[in-house]
Amino acid sequence: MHKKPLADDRDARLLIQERERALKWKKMFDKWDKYSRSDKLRKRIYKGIPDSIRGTVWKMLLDIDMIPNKTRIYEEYRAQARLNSPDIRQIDLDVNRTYRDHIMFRDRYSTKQQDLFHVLAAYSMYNQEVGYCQGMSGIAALLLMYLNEEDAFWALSVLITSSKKHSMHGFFIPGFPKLKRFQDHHEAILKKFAPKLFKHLEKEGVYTSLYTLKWFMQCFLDRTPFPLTLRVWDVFLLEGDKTLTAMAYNLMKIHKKKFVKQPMEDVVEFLQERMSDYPYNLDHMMELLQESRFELKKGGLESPPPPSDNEFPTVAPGSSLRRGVYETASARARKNREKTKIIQVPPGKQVLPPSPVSETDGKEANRHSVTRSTSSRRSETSGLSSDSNVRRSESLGRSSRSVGNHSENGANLSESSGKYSENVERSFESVGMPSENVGRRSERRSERQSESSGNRPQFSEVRYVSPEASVKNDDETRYHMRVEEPHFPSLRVDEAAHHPSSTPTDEPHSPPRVGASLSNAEIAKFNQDLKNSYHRSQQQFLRSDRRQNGSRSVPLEKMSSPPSRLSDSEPNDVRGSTEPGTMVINLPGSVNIERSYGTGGSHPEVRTPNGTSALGHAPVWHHDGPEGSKQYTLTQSPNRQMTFV
Amino acid sequence: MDQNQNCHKNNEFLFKVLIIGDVAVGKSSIMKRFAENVFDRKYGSTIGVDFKTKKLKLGGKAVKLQIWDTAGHERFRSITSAFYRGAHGIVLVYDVTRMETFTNIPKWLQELDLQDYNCTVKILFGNKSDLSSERDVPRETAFKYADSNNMFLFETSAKTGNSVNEAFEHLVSRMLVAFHEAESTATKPILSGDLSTCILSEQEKIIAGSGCSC
Repeated sequence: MHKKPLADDRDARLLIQERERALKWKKMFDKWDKYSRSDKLRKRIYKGIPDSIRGTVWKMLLDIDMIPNKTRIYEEYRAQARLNSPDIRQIDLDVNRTYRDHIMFRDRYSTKQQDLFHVLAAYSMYNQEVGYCQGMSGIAALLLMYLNEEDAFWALSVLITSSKKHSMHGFFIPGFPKLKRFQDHHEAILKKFAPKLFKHLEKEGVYTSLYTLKWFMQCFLDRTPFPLTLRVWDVFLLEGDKTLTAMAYNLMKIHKKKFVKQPMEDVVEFLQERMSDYPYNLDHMMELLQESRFELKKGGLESPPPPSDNEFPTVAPGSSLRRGVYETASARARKNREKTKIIQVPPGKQVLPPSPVSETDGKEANRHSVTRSTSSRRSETSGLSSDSNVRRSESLGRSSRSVGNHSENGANLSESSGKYSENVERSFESVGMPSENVGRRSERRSERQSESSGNRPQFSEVRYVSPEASVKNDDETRYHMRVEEPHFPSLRVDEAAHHPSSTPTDEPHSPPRVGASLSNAEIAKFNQDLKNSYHRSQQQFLRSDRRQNGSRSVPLEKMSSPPSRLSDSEPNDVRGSTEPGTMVINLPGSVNIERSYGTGGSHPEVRTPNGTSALGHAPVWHHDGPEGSKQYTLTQSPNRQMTFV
Repeated sequence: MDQNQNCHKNNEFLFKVLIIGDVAVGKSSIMKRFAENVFDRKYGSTIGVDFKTKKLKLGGKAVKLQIWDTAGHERFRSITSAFYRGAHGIVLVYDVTRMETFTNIPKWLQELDLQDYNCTVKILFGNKSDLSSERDVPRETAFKYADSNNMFLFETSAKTGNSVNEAFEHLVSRMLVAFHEAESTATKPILSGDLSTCILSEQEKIIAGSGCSC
């Protein structure tokens, strides 16, 4: 890919120019609202986004920071994918061969490879109509070169469905309707603007479907020199799929004279191989691209005929985990007053607790999420242990003990939670994940869940008010979430069970006193308790934190998700025993593959200031990496350190 | 235009060879090894179809092979199957370290039957034979299967280059035989259509019409 390195061969003048441009861009960031639709932005993007801030600009162009609840949703899908994604094997095969010549993806199971795996797996669950299609790995990898894992996921999501001007959904779904439309349009363009070339290619059998597939599906990845591809991607992110049409025509126009004289083999060989090494002048190419666009616009062929409905998702992506999915069964039981009825967790959905608070029925969801988070907590205890049977019975015992005190439905609850943990375990087994990995995941999830279950309403109310406010509040929220984390050792459940009546001191989950039949007043009181205890715990923790360990509150201004793993350094019986090791994926009907995508849950969450996920190793960025000349040294757990150079 | 082709057009054959098989069995690597004699560990997944040509001499006959390497991903089948048309030889590849790629071979044959190109010459490649410690498909089973389906099996390794060339030479010789059979019994319906176009000269005539001089 990098036959021509990006930064090394630039002379000093260009570097200075790039630095100046970066400064100008940074000024523009401050007034993004003003510039986001301006012609100035467009001009600057055609000039090329400086590599050091490309990630930031891409993020802004795609409005990724405006996505509500992005961390939580991504985490949920990521967890879900490990267990249920039907494409996981294919993804694994493709991660193994995506940009292995790029420093970020060179080592098998390196941090970035893991990120890639998780992004693709999560997306395959998030948008099940697309699932995983070859070609997406390249796109995700490109995004990961400039964005962190979570942002890359959302960027992919925006490109595929959310953004109307990109809507790559139709490029990846079975049948590829959008691809066909674009190929036909490309043919029409050639017919009109380069009839001689078109005739020649037709005669030689160089059909458009032969060479435009990668152009359109991956926006010229691998087919043009990488620096040029990046420039095209800059424009593509700004202008959408018109860029594809224009660039395809542009390339054909540039090489028209040569192609007309060449037989099929030579044309195809050039298009498939030699073009990616062709010494294009980037700035000149971008000018030509604009010219081509203008030409097409004048000829009325700027964009293909309008899409048909089958290019768009029939179900909104992400709806598989919509809030309230889990409530249905138990809600029905409640409605029918079938107190003895065991709450059934729908198969395939056991893994994830429901999202705690939905805007519509906050109370109900709240009640359930608490139930759920406690039960998932229990299940996690079972999942975590290597001798899971023993532990499971223990956890069952615990749960029945804790619940029995309060709720008339105690037996039901404990049974159902046992079932839940069983279910979880079964599904772990089916994917063959070592239970420890899953345990970590679910633990983490339940932590997040527990945070959200009691306290989310406070924040989510703020967060939904306005996008601008949400950014600010996000950080705040995250900070809180982060600092309170170390207060969640797994013993809490036990303690809570033993002292059910004591006010919850430092933990938002109080004893699982929520059965299936609490009255509204009780719930309200419970919520109030949660809120109070939460505030108290925060203050306590902040105090103790300042006193004991200043390093824990490392300022991470741009942290895009709560670094729950900061609590890794806590003495924790469960986590201490786990080590990121090899895992065996046993997929149904297939052979074993020994795999070590780290642990699903132990993925480090510390972000470098520009948002690149950079934990795990001490990455020295490639010269064309997003960091420019900066280097970040980050040592992995248990004693996590970060040195920013 | 390549002038050599025209000059030897009476002796040169043009065959279209298609490489199919499951995902990540090494189709692209085989093509690359055969066409350029290199092995690229970092070869990415093929999206759609890739194409290469290779010339070789066999038994005094110059043969040009158009090798089409297809994507193994199920979803691309609708695109790749359009390229099956007119293939003279089919290379079916499985991975000796993954049993399911072998058990999917009948599915691929079915796929070919659907396209109605079952009169072409087929050959079976058991790729990644260098990974002997990870072998999952026993040699005997594979050979037995190949025999029963009237195919030749070669256990190849694109990485080391082991028997890739031999396998392709075998394929070419069988295609030549099939072509001669078709020529001698031109009225036979089974080999009537596709193979008659495989003389290069026929194609060259068309190409020559475009203004090439030789």
